[in-house]
Amino acid sequence: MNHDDLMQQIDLLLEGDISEAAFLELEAELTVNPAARKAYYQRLKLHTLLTTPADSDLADLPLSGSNEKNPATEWQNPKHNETEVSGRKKSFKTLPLVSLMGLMGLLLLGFMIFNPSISDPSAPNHLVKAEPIATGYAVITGQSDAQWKGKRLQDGDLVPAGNLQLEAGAVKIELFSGVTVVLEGEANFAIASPMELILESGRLRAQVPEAAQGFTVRTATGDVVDLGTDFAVVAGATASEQTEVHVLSGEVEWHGNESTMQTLHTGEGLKGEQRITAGKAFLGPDEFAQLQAEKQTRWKTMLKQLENEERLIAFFPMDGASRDQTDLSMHTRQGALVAATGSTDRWGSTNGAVDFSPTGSRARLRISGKYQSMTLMCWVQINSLDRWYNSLFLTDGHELHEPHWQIMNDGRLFFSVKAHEPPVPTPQNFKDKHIFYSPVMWDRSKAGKWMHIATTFDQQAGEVAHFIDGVEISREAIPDDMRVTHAHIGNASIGNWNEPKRDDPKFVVRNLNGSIDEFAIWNVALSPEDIAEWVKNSAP
Amino acid sequence: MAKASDQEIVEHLTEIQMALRLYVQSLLPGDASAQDVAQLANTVLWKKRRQFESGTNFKAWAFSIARFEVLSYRKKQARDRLVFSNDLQNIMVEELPEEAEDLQLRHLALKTCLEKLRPQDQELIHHRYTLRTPLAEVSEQVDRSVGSIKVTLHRLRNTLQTCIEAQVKATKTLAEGGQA
Repeated sequence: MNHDDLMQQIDLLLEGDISEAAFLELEAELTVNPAARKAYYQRLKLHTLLTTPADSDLADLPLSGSNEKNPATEWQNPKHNETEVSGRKKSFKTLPLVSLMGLMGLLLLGFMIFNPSISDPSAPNHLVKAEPIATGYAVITGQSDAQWKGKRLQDGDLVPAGNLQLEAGAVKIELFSGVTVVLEGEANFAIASPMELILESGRLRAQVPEAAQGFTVRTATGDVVDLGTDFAVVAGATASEQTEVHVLSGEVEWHGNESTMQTLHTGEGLKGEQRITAGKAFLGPDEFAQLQAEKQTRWKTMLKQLENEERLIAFFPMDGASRDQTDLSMHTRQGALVAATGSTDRWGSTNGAVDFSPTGSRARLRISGKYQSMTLMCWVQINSLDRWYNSLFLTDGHELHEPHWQIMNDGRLFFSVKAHEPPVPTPQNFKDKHIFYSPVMWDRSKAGKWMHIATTFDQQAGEVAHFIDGVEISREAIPDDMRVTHAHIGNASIGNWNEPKRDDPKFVVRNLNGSIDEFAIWNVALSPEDIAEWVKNSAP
Repeated sequence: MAKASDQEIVEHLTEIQMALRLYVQSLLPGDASAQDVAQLANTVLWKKRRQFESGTNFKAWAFSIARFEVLSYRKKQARDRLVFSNDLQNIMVEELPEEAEDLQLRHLALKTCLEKLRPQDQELIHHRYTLRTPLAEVSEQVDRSVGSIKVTLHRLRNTLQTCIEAQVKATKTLAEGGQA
């Protein structure tokens, strides 16, 4: 292939016009001929530079060659292309990175011939339908007594697309652009992109790093465009309430719907179109962390009261830094960790929880006594449910009147108390226990998130109920032939199961692939209100 | 094998947003769905974050997943694709990083070279690469056949290429002379 032919074929390839025969010929040439590859790379680079998205140098070509806009930041605020944002800094340093990515992309493009005709505006919808997963541009990184309307959102959740209503409390959200916002309820908002938040109503404070300059908060009466700042916006719930903008530090632009653009600096604010002094009483990320720390302190103080709680059989706070586990209840039992290691708890404290994922992990404990009813509860962070049975709390072996509490690999909670000793010989269809399954309460989207699980075994009411994050998810009557005079525990493990045959070195893998924190057993079936209150107080 | 914390993942994700978008965008140039695919890749990255090992290259990991998302998007589009052999792909992946080193230099050179083109040729490049005007439309405007426009574009790319190579060579020679 001579040079002209080669360049011709390469251009056809990059333009998506190449025939299959020509493609195969070119592929062969590129594979064996380093000089041909060199030519291909040079052309790829030209193509990349020419097609750099929103390259204003090219856009403004007929006018001047000295434009200083930085194409690399255009992505951050595509909708603002028409409203020139001043103060956008030139960061030419990013060009090689950007271009490398473009080039790598193009390289792959060579592998999968680009066909301009495939553009299909309906495609994203198909994608979403085919793969029913939430999309988002941001992650919830903290909540303080947050109450959501509709779907409950938790720490670590991707913020879903569409309108969100925070009815009360506060929430901290980190956008993938690096912007941190704190919203205080009641707030009605949507995150439209990593660089754009729509605030219908509510209070918001945003801290914007330099890399995310141009971050925009849209309100009913106008847009706030950030120029590298810490600012707050208050949007009224009704049209008559005026939008407030407060600049705590730095500089923002106010693009009112009915007015010309105004620039606001540190300490300045706007109410409607009226200049005001910036307020200070806005919850920011720092204050938010403070709030959480205070909540944790309050909870720890509440835990101290547990030693007087007569209904409590045992409470293990789960100390990841120590082999010995101390029971905070009045019974002051001692437990011991085997193989398990420390992990970060839901407050973010190192070794505040225990990770049961190492094989053989368990916390051993012994609980004597007979109990009419009981409640089992703990905070748990599940990485995966890859075993058939994933242990929460199980008595050794499978003895009469003993409870087993675990999670099935399909995400259902499993609770049972063995009611009958099987006769010998055991008739077919003989049932020694009833298993109380919950609906599916875990799937992969919850991997790594802390959640609270509770199960009540209520022999007075004759019911077993399961609770997730303080909310009842199922309640089932105990069949008459499955009631027991009492339940007892004896030797047991948190996070694993000890088999009956102690002389057999083989064991089934049932340890929980995850972490457990604050494991509690009560000698009563706590009411749904009690459980909700417990979760409310102990949730970060 | 240390797992990265959510905070670490958020930081990584934040850092690579632009690169990720451009990466996906350049895999799907001119495709209106590119941003959605990038966003989908974000979601998948977030879901798979437990698989990322702290201390390893996040960008490489993210791109491998993004590439897969693009592939699966392509598959859903169910269009014909021509794919280079694995052998060739591997050679290119190895050679590419070094090739990318003079991109900034080439970007400056391109600017100079574009200015040397005749106004109508600048206009054509502008339509093709910036506005992405369909060639059929350009064809009507300038009253020339699509085929002849394609030929002109090919010629213009050759001209630009030659000019850029000369500029780059001159700059490099100058830089080497300056250092000596």
